[in-house]
Amino acid sequence: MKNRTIWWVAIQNLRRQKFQSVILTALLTVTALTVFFSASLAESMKEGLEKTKDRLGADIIVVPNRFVSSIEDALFLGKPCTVNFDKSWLDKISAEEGVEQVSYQLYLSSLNSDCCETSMQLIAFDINSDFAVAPWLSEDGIHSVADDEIIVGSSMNKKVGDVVKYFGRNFTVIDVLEETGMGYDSCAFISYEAAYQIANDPDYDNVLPFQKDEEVISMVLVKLKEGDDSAKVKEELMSQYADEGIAVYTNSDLVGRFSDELKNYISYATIFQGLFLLMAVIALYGIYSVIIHLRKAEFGTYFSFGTEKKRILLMLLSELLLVAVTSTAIGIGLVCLITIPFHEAIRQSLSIPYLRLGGTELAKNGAYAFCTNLLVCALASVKSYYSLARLDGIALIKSSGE
Amino acid sequence: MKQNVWITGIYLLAAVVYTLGPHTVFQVCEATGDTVMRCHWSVRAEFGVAILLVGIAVLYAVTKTQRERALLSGIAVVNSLVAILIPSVLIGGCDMKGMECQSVTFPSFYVTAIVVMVASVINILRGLKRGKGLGVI
Repeated sequence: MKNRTIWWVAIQNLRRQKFQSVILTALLTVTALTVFFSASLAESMKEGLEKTKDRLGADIIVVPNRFVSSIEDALFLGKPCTVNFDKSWLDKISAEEGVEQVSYQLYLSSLNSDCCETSMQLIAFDINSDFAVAPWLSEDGIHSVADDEIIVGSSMNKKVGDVVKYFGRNFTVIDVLEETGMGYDSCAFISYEAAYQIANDPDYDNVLPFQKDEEVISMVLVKLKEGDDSAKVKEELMSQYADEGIAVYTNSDLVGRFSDELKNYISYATIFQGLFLLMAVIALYGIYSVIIHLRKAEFGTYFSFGTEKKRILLMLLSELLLVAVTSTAIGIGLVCLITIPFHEAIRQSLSIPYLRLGGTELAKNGAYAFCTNLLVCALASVKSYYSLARLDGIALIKSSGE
Repeated sequence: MKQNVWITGIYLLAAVVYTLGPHTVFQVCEATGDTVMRCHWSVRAEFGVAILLVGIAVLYAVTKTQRERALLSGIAVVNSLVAILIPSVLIGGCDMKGMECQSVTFPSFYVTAIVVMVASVINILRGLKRGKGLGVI
């Protein structure tokens, strides 16, 4: 009952001093917003990186070195490209010591599709030898892909049974891949036979850099025998074929670029957050000192009427706690209102592979933002409480006029 | 009076976002060929939603009673629901989530509609409290 009364008084005080409450709430909202957004972004980037590592499927990939950046952009950001690589590399690489299995994919940048004025990444693959995408498909009961069938990434608003048109041909969607956080999300997978049929179509012979009879792939995916070191195999491949225009990447190399970006982002975010929180503590300290000073006469009157100091301090703490809770809720709400609908635009503008706010992340980062707000409040108000606790009723009323 | 200005302002601002947003800040996909994309029709339909919202805003500005305000706010909630349904279900847009319409234009409609909905619901609740139920004129 006692606590309930204190809460009630705290709410009435906040309602009565509207301007002060709004200023405190605004300041703490911006703090919560900054902390919550930067923490969520870092969390998302980390998750994207881990998922990408898991989903890449290959220990090593070999690509023609003049297409390295195109392949990286296609793999991680889904930017369409067409890459041309000789299929004879499959035999050379599979003969290497430590290599258990090799597979290949062919990257084709489509022309505009029937729905949108944009190109799209098509990947031709052989479901029988593939170990990057095929395992996900077999989970969905897909063991073969016909020439007029297609598997689409999660970024396409398509469902199984829909028909899409690429290079003037209709493909039926037989599966939609789950979100991976990498370029596969905005790719579509077709069979090699379908790719060769497109290449053989006289309407597109100037668009694709190969014909049916050519033995063309875009990249070789390599799976190593258990226990074999990918860095060692990479070194051996490079020592043998470095002069022949190939680039060899281990799984770690590929995610390295984003891993470095993540590290940079986390350091910048930490510095920015630190400076921002320091500024928030200083601003709140100033505002709170003024508020306490302005209310000294009020507290003096409480004391004179016999209210315990403890109860007054508890009331002040309750007020601050209410402001902290409200501002954290508003901050989180604002971030969600912007980040959830605009997540794709934010992801693209920051060039990050993944941005998603799941329930667990929301709860975790929300709690973090709330704790940070509480810490800011505690640091900013502790001196005011201490000086308030030292004075008696008369001294408070007297000092209110200073 | 103050309440009227706020709500009318929010409704008018939302109508501006629906109408001018897709052609300025929240640009919709540009058609370069002969293909007319679905997002183009969604944007056109949102223009209709904006006209209705301007009508609601004008009526709201001249209303005198809590009951009328609550009813107009209720219509604004339904209007916002339609604003969300047009790009998400009724007409739709481009297939790729990365396209401008899906990543920028439609989210701007959703956020605007949510803001209008929240403001209208708060307004209805305040109206109920002030008028102690809609029976009070």
